[in-house]
Amino acid sequence: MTDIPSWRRRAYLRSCRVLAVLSAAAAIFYLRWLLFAAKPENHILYGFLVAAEVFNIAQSTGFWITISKQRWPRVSVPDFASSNEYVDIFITVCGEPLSVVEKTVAGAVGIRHPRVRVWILDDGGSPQIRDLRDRYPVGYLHRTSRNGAKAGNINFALEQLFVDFFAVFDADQVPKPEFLEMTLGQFADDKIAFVQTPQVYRDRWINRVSGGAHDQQGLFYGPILRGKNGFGAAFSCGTNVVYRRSAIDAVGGFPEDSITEDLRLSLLLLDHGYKSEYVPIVVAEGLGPMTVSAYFNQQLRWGRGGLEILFKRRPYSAKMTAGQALQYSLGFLYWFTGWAYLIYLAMPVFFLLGGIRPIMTPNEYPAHFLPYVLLSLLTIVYASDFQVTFDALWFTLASFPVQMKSLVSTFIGGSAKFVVTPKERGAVSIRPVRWHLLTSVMLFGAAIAGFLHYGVTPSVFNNVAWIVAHLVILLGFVILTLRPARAPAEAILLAEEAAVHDLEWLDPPAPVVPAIADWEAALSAKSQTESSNE
Amino acid sequence: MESVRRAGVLLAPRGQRTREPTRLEGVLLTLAITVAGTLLRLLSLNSRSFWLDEATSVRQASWTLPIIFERMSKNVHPPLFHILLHYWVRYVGRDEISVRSFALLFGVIAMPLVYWVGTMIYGRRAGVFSVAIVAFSPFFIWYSQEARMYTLMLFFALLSTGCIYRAMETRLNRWWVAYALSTAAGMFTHYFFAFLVVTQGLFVLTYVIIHRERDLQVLGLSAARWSHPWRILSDCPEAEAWLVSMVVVIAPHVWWIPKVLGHQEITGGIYQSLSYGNTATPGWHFNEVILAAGQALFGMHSDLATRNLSAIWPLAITAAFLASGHVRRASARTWFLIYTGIFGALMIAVIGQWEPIYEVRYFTAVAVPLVILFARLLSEFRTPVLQVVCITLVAVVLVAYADQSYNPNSIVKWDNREAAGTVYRNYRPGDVILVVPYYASSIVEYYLPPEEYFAVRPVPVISPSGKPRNSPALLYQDLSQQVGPATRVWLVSTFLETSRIAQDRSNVVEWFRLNGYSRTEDVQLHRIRVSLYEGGTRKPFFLGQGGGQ
Repeated sequence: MTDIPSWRRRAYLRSCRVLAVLSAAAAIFYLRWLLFAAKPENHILYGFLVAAEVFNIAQSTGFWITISKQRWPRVSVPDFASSNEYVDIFITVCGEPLSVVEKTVAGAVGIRHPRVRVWILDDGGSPQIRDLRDRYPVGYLHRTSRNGAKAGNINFALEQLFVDFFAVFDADQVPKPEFLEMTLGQFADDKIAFVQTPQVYRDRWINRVSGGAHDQQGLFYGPILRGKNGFGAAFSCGTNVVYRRSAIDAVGGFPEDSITEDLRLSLLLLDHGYKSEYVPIVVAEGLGPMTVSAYFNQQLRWGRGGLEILFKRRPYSAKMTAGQALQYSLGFLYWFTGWAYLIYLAMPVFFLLGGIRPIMTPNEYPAHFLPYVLLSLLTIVYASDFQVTFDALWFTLASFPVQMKSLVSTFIGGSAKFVVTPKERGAVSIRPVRWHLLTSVMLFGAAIAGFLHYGVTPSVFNNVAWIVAHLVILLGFVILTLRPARAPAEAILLAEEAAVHDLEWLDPPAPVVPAIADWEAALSAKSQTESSNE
Repeated sequence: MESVRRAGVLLAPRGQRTREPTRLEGVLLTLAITVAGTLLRLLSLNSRSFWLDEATSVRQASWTLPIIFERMSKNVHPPLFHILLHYWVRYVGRDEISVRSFALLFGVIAMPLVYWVGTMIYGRRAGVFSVAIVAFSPFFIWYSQEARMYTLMLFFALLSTGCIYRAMETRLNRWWVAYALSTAAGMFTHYFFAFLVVTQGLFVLTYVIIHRERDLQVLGLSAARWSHPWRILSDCPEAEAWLVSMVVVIAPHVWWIPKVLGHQEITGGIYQSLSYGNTATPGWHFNEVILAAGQALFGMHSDLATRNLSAIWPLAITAAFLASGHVRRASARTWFLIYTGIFGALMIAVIGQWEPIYEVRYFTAVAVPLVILFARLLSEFRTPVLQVVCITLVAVVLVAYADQSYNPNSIVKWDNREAAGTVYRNYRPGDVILVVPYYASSIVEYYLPPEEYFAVRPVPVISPSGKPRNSPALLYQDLSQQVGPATRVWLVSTFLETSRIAQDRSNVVEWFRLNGYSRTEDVQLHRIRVSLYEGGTRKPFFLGQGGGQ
C-alpha cells in the first residue's frame, strides 16, 4: 500500500483525481440537501448531525485534496565512495526486551555505508542491552536521567556525537541494508532537513491488533503521506527517518516539551525554512501493538501530543504555505473523529428510546447520503491501491473513546508523559473496551425497546440497521481484544497473499484468459520495457 | 496468481478452495438445480391472479400480426414477446397456466444458460453458483411465473452476454453473429435491454483503448484514455466487429425508432412515482431504487415487509466496508461484468432520477452480470464461511419464497380473478361493467368468458387525442353515454392507491348519487374493489358502442 510501481503512477494519480472530483460532487450534493432541503424535526439533534457531517466532509475533502497531489521523489543511490558524509544510526531503547532490540541492532549494523556508526541510546539502563556492544560493532550511550523522554535521549546523544546525518530507529524497527542508499540521496538539496520512510509491522501476520494498526498505518504511509509530500508537508514520524544534523542544531535540538516530539520538530523545522521529503519505500520493519490496550496507549499518546501542539504550542507559522497549513490541520482534525462517531452512535438511540430524530423526511436521506459515502469508500479503496482493509477503517472508528479522551485530557488532564508502546503480548483484559461494551449494551437495549414500543416499522428497522452496523464495529473490537492472535493457518495465508502481491514489483500478472487477458500480457511487456529502461 | 491475491480472512486462495467440479459433475449439478428450480416455479405458478400487465399481454397477443406491429409501436414495449405469445396462445391455450408457461419456459432455459455463461467467465464452480442463484432467487421465480417478457429478456441477455464474451475471447465471427442476433432480439423484447448494450459498448471501447495503449491495468476511471477513440478503432478487430454487430442490432429499429420517439410517454412522462418512500423532492426518486434492490434480493412481499426490508439499507454500507478489504485490482473479465452489470444498473438509477423507472423487473437484463459476479463471490468463500453463507441464504430464500408465493397481502398481487368471478356470478343481461381506471378493463375482459357478451366500459373514456377525459364534466357526459338505460351497474376499481384514480372513482360514485343509483353490493378484495349500483332515474336514450374497447 505504501507505494505504487512507477509504470502505473500516472494512471493511478489521474484516476485518484477523477475519483476525488466525483466524491466531492457527491459530498456537495449531500451537504446541500442536508443544509437547505432537509426539514429539521428536532433542532438540537439536527445541529449535532450537521456538525458531524460537516466535520466528516471536511476531513474527506482534505483526503481528496491530499491524494490528488501525491508526489514520488526520484530515488537514486548515491556514490558513497566519492562522498564524505558521516552517518550515525540511533536506536532508542527504553525497557524493550533484549530479543527485540538485538534484531534491530543486527539490522542496523548491516546498513550499507562506508562511514556509518550504530549507537544504542538506552534509557532503560539494561545490562543485557549494554552487553550487545560486545557482540556487535555498536556504541552504547546511557544517561542518568530520563528527562525529555525520547527527545531527551536523542538530544543527549547529539551532545556527544557530531556527524553530518543521523537516523533514528525505535527499538523494534529493523532497518534493511539499503536504508541509507534509498534516503541519503534526497539530501542533495541543502534545505532538506529530514527524509522519512514508512513504518510497517512485521508481526501483522500473527496478531490481529498489529495487523489492524498496520493497515491503518498503511493508508497513512501510502496515499496520505505521499500527498503531504506533494504539499511539502511530510512530517517526521520519529522512527525510520534520517535527519540532517545542522538542521536539528538550527532549531535547538529535539523539542522536549511535547510527547509527540517528531511532529513538533517537523513544525519547528518548517518554521526555520527547512523542507522535508518522504520516500515511500519500505526500508525498515517493526513491531506493532499486540494488544488493544497497547494500541489505545499509542493512539492516546499520538492524539494528546497532536492536540497539545494544536492548542498549546502555536503550530502555525507565517512561513507555512496554505497547502502545508492544510495538511497539518488535517493531521490535528483526525483526533476529533471520535466525537463525530459518538453523534452517529447516539442518533438511533434517540429515535428508538425517545422517538426523536434530526430530520423530518428520513426517506430522502439515503438518496443523498449513499452516493457520497459509497464514492468516498471507493476513493479510499482506490487510493490505497485496493490494499486497504476493513480493519483500517474499523480501528479508526473503534478508537472513539481514546480520541475523545485525548481531547479532554489535553485541557483537564495532568502533564502528558511519554509511554513506549509495548511490543509484546500482555495479559488479555476487557478493560480497554469497557466503553465499547457499555455502548453495545445501550445500543442493543435501544433496539429491543424500539421494537417493543413502536413495533415492526420501517423507521425502527432503519435505526436498528444502524445499530447493527455499530455493533459490528464495537463488538468486533471486543472480540479482537479477547482474541488478538491469528490462527496459524490464517497467518500463513495472509503472508502468502502479501508475498504474491509483492511479486508485482518483479512480474506483472500473467494472462489468465486469451484475448481479454492480452491486457495483462501487454502490461507485462510494458513493464519489462520500462524496467529495462530504468 | 489472481485468485491468490484475493485471499483474505473470508476468501480462500485457489489451493484452499473446494476443487472445481468436473464437466460431468457440473452438468449433473446444473440439471439437479434446474429441476429443483423448475419445481419451485411450477408449485406456485397459479397461486396468484393475473395482474393488469399479464391480462394486457393476452389482449395484445390476441391481435393479428399487423395490428400488433401497428399498436405496439405506440406502446411502451417492443413487439417480439407479443408476437411469440400470439402463436403460443393460439397453439397452447389462453388459460392462466398456459399463458404463464411461456414465461416459465424461458425461465427454465435461463438456468442451464447461466451455467454456460458463468462457467465460461469464471469456471464451473462459479457456473454452478450462478445457476443456483437464478434457480432459487425469489425475483427470478416471480418473473418466471408472470406472463410478461422478463424471462425472454433474461434469456436474450444471457445469450448476448455469453456471446460477446466468447466473441472477444475467440475473435470468431460466428460468435459476433450470434451476439448481434441475440442482442437485436433482446432490443425487440424490452427497451431497457439497451442499457446492457450500451454498457457492453462502453466495455468494448475501453478494451480497445487499453489494448491500443497497452499500459493500463485498471480499466475503470480511465477518463483520460477517451481522448482520441477514433484512432483506436481503425486497427482493432473487436471494435470493428462490435460496430458491425451494432449495425445489425440497430438496422431493424430504423423504421421503428421514429414511431417510438413519438410516444406520448416519451414526451410526457411514463409513470407516476410509486411513492413507496413518499419522495418529497420533485425529480429525485432514489427510494424506488432501494425498494427495487430490496425486491431483487428478497422478492415480492407485502407493503410493510417491502418497506422494512428496504429500510435496512445501512447494512449495505457495512457490507461495502467489510468488502473493501477483499477488493483487489479486478481482472478483465470482472471488469466486463462490472461494466455491464453495475454500471448498467447505475445508469438506470441515475437516468431514473428524472423519471421513476424503477420497476425492479426493468433491471432484468443488467442483472445477468450481477448474478455471475455474486456467484463468483460465493465461489471464493472459504468452506466454513461458505457453509454459513449458504445456510443463511437458503433460509432467507425459503422464507421469501413462501411469503412471496402464498401471502396474499403482496404489493404486487391483486385479487383480480376473484373480482371478475364476483361480477360473473351475479351478472345479468343488461348490466353494465364500469372499470376504473380505463386500462384495467383488460383484466375483466380476460377473466370473463370470451364466448359470452359483457358490457365492459372503461372509465374515463380516452379522447381521440389519446388522453383520458377525466374532468368531472366530461366524465359525467361519458358516463351518461356508457351506462345508458342500465339499472344495474358494476363498478370495478383498482389501483386506488393512486390519487388520480381514486379521484376518478369518487367522481363516478358522485355521478351514481346524482342519478339516483344506490350501492347494493360492495366487495373489497386485495387491491381491487367491486361494487354494484342499482336504481337510476335517468331517461333512457340511444346507447352507442361505448368507448375504449
